[in-house]
This record gives sequence, C-alpha cells and structure tokens, in this order.
Amino acid sequence: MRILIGFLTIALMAGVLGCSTDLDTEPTNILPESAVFTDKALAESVLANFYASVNYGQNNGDYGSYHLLDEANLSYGPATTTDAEKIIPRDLFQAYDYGLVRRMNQFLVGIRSNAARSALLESDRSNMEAQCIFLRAWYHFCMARSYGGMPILGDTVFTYESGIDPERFQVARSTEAGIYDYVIAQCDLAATGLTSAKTTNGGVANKWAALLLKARAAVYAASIANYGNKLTPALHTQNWEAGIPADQAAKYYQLALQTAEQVITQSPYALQINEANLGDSFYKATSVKAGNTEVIWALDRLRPNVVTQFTNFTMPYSHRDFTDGNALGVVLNLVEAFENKDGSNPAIKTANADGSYVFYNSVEDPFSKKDARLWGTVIYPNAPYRQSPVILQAGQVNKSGNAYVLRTSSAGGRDAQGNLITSINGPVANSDNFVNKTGFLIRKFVDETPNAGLNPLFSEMWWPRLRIAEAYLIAAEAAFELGDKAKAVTYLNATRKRGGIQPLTVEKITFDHIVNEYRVEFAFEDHRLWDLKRWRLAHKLWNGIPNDPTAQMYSLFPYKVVAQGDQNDGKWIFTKQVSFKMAPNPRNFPLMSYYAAIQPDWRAKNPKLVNNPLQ
Amino acid sequence: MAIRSIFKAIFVLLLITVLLPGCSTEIDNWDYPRSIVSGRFVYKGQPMQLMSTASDATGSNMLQLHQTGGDWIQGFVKVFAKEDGTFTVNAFDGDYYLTLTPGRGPWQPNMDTVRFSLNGEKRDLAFEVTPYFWISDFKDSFADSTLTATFKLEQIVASAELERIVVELGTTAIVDNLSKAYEKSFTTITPGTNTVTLNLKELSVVEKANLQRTGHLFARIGVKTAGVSDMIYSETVKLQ
Repeated sequence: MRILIGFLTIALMAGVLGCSTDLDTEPTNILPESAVFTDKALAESVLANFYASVNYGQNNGDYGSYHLLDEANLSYGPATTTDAEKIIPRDLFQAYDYGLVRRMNQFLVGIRSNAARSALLESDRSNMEAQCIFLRAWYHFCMARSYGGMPILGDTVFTYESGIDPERFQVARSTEAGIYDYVIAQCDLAATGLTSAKTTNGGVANKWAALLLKARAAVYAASIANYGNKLTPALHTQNWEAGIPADQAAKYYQLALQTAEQVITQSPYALQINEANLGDSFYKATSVKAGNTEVIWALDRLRPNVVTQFTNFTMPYSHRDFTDGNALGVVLNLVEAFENKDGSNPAIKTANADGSYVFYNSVEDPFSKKDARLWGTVIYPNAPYRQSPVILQAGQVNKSGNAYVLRTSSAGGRDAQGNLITSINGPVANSDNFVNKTGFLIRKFVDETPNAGLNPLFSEMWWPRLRIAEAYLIAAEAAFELGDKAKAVTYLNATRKRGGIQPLTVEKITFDHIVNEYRVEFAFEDHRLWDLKRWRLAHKLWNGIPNDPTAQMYSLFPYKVVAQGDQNDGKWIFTKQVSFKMAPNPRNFPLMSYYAAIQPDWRAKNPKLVNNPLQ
Repeated sequence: MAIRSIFKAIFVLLLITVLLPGCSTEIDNWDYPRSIVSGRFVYKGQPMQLMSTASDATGSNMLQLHQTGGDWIQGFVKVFAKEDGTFTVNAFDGDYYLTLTPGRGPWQPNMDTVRFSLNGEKRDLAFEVTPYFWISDFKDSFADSTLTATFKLEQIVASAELERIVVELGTTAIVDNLSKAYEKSFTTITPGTNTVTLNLKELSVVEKANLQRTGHLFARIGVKTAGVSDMIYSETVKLQ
C-alpha cells in the first residue's frame, strides 16, 4: 500500500508543480521552424534529408534490384519462381510519397519567409530554394513514370484543422502530359536559382541537372505520345491521365532536342574518353569520382555514414575483401548487346553449323573484339579486377575417344595433374552460394579501391543519376524522331566512339540503334525499364515465351580444352544455356504493367482519382 | 526497496494485466463472413477453362466483387477463380455486383455487371463472357512418351489475332501460363480441327529433370491471342 501512496504523492506534486511557469521553457530536443530557416547549416540539413528521400528505382545500394530485368540475375540459391519473377510487377519501383511533397512545400514556405531572407545570404537562400524545387520536380518525374498523371499540389501546404471540409484536399489527377509539363516548368524555375558550376562529386544539384531532367521529361513525354498511340493505342484513360495524345509528340521532341543541345554546348561537362584505354575510361566515367567530367548529379557516398555494400556482395569471390562475392551474374543477353568493333554479328558463336564446338584460342577472344564499354561494364572471363585476372571457368573439355566431353567439379576443384577444372568463381549451374551462374560478373559500380568490400567501412561508390552522355542520347533520339538523321548520327557517334565501334551513317541509322545505345551505355543505371516502357517495347521484348531470344535470360559458360596431343589442347569452347536462377521465368511484361495501379484506399479518400488503364 | 514492496508492485501490475482486457468491447471482434457467393464463367452457357488464380503474380484477379449501397465508395473483393472457371467467395449479406477486371481474361473487354442481393447464399451465378477463341472436342493420347492432342479451334471474335497455341506441361494438376514446367509453342495453327504432338524424348536433360519432380505429369493446351495477357485453355489431362 505504501508504494501506491508514494505514487499518488508524486503525481500530486507533479500536478502542483505543473502550474509553475518555470516549466514553460524552450524544448532542447526540438528545433522550432523559425530557428531552422535562419541558419544555413540547419536549412541544409533539411535539404540533405530530401536528397536522401528520393532514391527511387534500381540502384547500387541494393544489388537485388537488378534481378528482374534483362541485365543481370542473382546467383544465390536455387532457381525460384516468385510472383515478381514470373511477371514484372506493375508496382515495380513505383514512387508515391505525398508526405515528402508536403515537407518540401513546408521547406519552401520557410525558406521564402522574411526571417530567412533577412538572416541568410541571398545567393545561399535562392540556391537552397531552387534545390528544393528541383528535388520536388525529380520526385514528380519518378512518380509520373509509374503512374502517369497524378495530383499536382503546387506550393500549397495542406494542413487539417477540425471543421475544414476535407473536399478541398481532394485534388484530381493531372493529365500525363500535364505532369511532364509541370516537371519541365519546375526544372526551368529551379535552373534560374541553381549554380551553373560543378558541385563536389555531383552531390548537390546544379543548373545542368535541372536542364537534363527537363530534357529527359520532354523525351519521355514525346515517346509516350509517339509510341503509346502507335503500339499500345488502348492504353490510355478517357481524359488522358494516362497516355498523351499523339499530336503532342513533335512539340516534346523539339523541346528535348533543344534542351539537350543546350546542356551539351553550354555545360562544363564532357564525355570522358581516353583513346589509349577506352574500356578503362568508360569505367572511370561511371564509377570513379576523381577527375570525373561526366556525372552531373549523383547520390554521393562518404564513409562512415553513407556507404554501400555493393562491392562486398558482387565482387569476384576469388578477390573478396570480406565474406561475400559473386552475388550478381550479368546475363549473356546484355553482353551480346555490345556490338563488335568490326561490325560483325554481335552474337557469340558457340557451335558450328554441324553442331561441333567453336574453338577459341583465348577465353577473352569473343569479348575483346566487342565495344570497349563492355570491359567497363562487365567482368568477362580473364578480365582483370584490381589488376589481377578474374578466372571464370565452368570446367574442362577432355577427349574421350574421338569425342569431346565436358567435365566439371566442385568450385575450385583440380584434376590429378593439378589443372583447374571449375573455378572458385564458377560459373556453375547449381544452387551453391558465392559462385557465379551466368559466366559474367558486373564491373560498373564495383569499387577498385582496396578493402572497399570490407566491413564496416565498405564502399564510397556513388550512384550517378544524371550524366552528360544522356544529353547526347536524348539529342540523338529526338533528332531522329524529328527526321534530322544527320544530327542524330552525330550525337549517337559521340557515345559510340567511346566503345571504338564503327560510326553510323545517315543511311544506316535505325531506331534500334538508339534503343541499343541506351542499353549498353546506361546498363545498371536505372534506365532500361523506363526506356522500354516509354517506347512501349517492354511487352514485345519481354513476352514471356520460353526460349524467346529477348525474353529468356541466357548464360555463357567457358570450358578449357585439356587434352594432351589434341590440336585444340589449351583452347576454349563456350556453351550457351538458360540463366540458372531465372530459368523457369522468361521475362514477362503484361500490358497492365505499363501503368502502376491507383490503390483503392487512395480512391476511398479521394474519389476524384481515376483508375489507370487495365485496372 | 524491500522485497515485499517489489512483490506488491508485481501484484498490482498483474492485476492490471488481468483486468485491462476485460475493458475491451466487442466492436472489433467481428465474425468472419459466412454467406456464400459462387458461380462460374460461361460462354453461351458453356463452362470454360481458365488460368487458375493459384498465383497472384499479376496482382489482380479476373473478377471483382463490389458491394453497393450504404457508405461503400471504393474497394472490392478479389474473386479467385479455379482452373475450370468456377469461383466461390465468402461475404457478408448485402447488395453486390460482379464485374471483370479490365485487362484480365481471354475475352472481349466489357463492363457488364451481374447484380444480386446476398442473403445466406447465392449459388450458380453465371458470368457471361465472349472469348476471342474457343477450344472444343479436346482429345489426347499419350504413348511412348509422345503426347498427341486433337482439338477444334474456333475464332469467336473476328478481329482477334491468333498469336500462338501452347502445350503446357506441369507436375501438379494446376497447369497454366504461370504454373508450368515446360511449354512448347505452335505458331502455324489456324482455326479448325488441329492435331499437335509433343515428343518428351526430345527435351533437354534439364527440362526432363524439371518434369520428373513429382512423378506425375499433367498437360493442357492454351490459346494466346495477340495483345491479350491471359489464355483460354483446354481441360487439364493427366499423362500416364
């Protein structure tokens, strides 16, 4: 009982003390808004939070995000048939965060307040305001590529107080053209306040980021208007919340071309090409911060707080810094998309017409004649990583009588003479972990820095979101669609040059060249899904048919000939087979996946929202 | 603090733990719905074979159950259908309508609804659809590891374009586009009576291994219309 009385006494005392004004002090753990927007460091910390909130889509903070498309497959465990693997889901990488929009609008109110204007340097203040406008435009862009048109709230900060009619919070969806127009206008607005100088590691958005996003939004809108009506005419809503009328295509293509050319000619960025070592210079263009002339805007990482384990998980297991490796295997489909320097058929020949093996003198032969960007994107057998070769060997080819037979072992196994049979890196076609399953590893974004895979510091690899090469491809695409093939060829050859492949001519260029150029230039950079969606090619390439050349993922296994006295001893053969992990699931993109679903509970709260097509 | 007062404190806490749940009301403890809605998809009164919704890979089902009246604004019950086109769902009593999910099903899109009042049970609802193609007179034989299937293919919707016919094999009784172990496509088939054959001996080692998982083998024929995600199927047969 005594204890209860004690509690009561304490409660009573607290109640009495509560009447004293001594407790009405400023809280020490909460910053009032007035303090935030009068202090540059505090305002920047709010902005930093916005930068950290807009990581949408495939990215090198999550190697698993590469698994579902046609670039790479996971290597851990047995082949699986999850729902997402069977059908590319319509909600893949969707971005929906109106809480963020509200916080951004609160920030804009604060940073535009008189208190902020009097306390901060005008150049700092207007730059921060413009950064927030840019990030809000980026968010709307990332939302639009999944949903099409969505409610545009402008600068309004919606705040509910009791008694307010909630109907004024219910904003209808804009048209799809309308949301791209909004992104374009906001990029223009942001560009006036942003710096035109390069920022450290591209970590902070500048004018060129805003203009390149504008060009990207314009070319997305243009291609949806163009190909949406040609290839998927039924895929729009009655009032064009999804889909853009065909007659708007030319306008957007012109805007895209004009803006991309502005970025190319006026910005301080340039394509990074070192003629002496094209492959290495392409790797450096995407994955090395020092001396980079190419990346405009990136998620920059800095130890110890912002790091990625991408290198730890995906680096060659033979070269591992820590406990993991080989988590991601690049598929043959992507490797074969890289053209050959001599212009010959880029498919890698594994068998002759009579079914016999094709023998290569070196395991690198099929790859070293390809676009040099392959070296900078993929680790192929015997290509170096951190200056030492990565051995990818599925097994040996031995002679049995007159026939060649394949021989495999457990990873790292050797024959009686001590010759390697199957490499510790694989590739293998079984459910073991830490061995490759496709014959190729990823190089792009895998850190060359020693110990970049080591716990707890890991890698400071950045995530480039916008780089100058895209301006060239947007310009090429828009010029091509507008009928100016000469210009398209010029811009396309600018990026093709970095691979050392044959320049295109006005007579030869086709739309497929542009599609493929995006694929090889921007592999693993969160372009593929969105590009195939806006060109309305996704359901054609990823048609779900087993063994279809674009839907089924393939692997390429190298075997070394170990047969003393045979004329082919020491040579290499390759076998092509379906990618182990994705074998049961040819890529399948149903029409409904072009637009993400408007959720029923959003419609319950806001009946003005209309459903997307096929929903 | 003395040991005794600790015991007292624990006793008080225990008392609270025991007494608090007694305060809850019955309002959040609804019984699950017991009324039954059932029916099947039909074309001119004939039942049809569909993809079973054993997998929810598309995130949507072919049929939606909407409740009307009262405060219902949005939202619906996803109705799972079996491979023979039948569906059963439990719901609360009330007024409902059934409608197709746009973009799903091997039939012409339509916004028709089947309206009914549910009171206890509502059985044998027929949801009438117009498929693009129709499979009938399906016969199969399986001998010497070779499947021979004969069927009649009819084009129902004149504007539809036939993309391919598939023979799908699976190791369970549920065989469809998303739950299959092997598929072979035929692209040269035209409407009329057709025969397709599939020699399992010609399969690759991996494919054979995939088909031997359970020791049972089932087959089904599917018709894919160009630009339509779902297929219409023949009935599933066991190969033995």
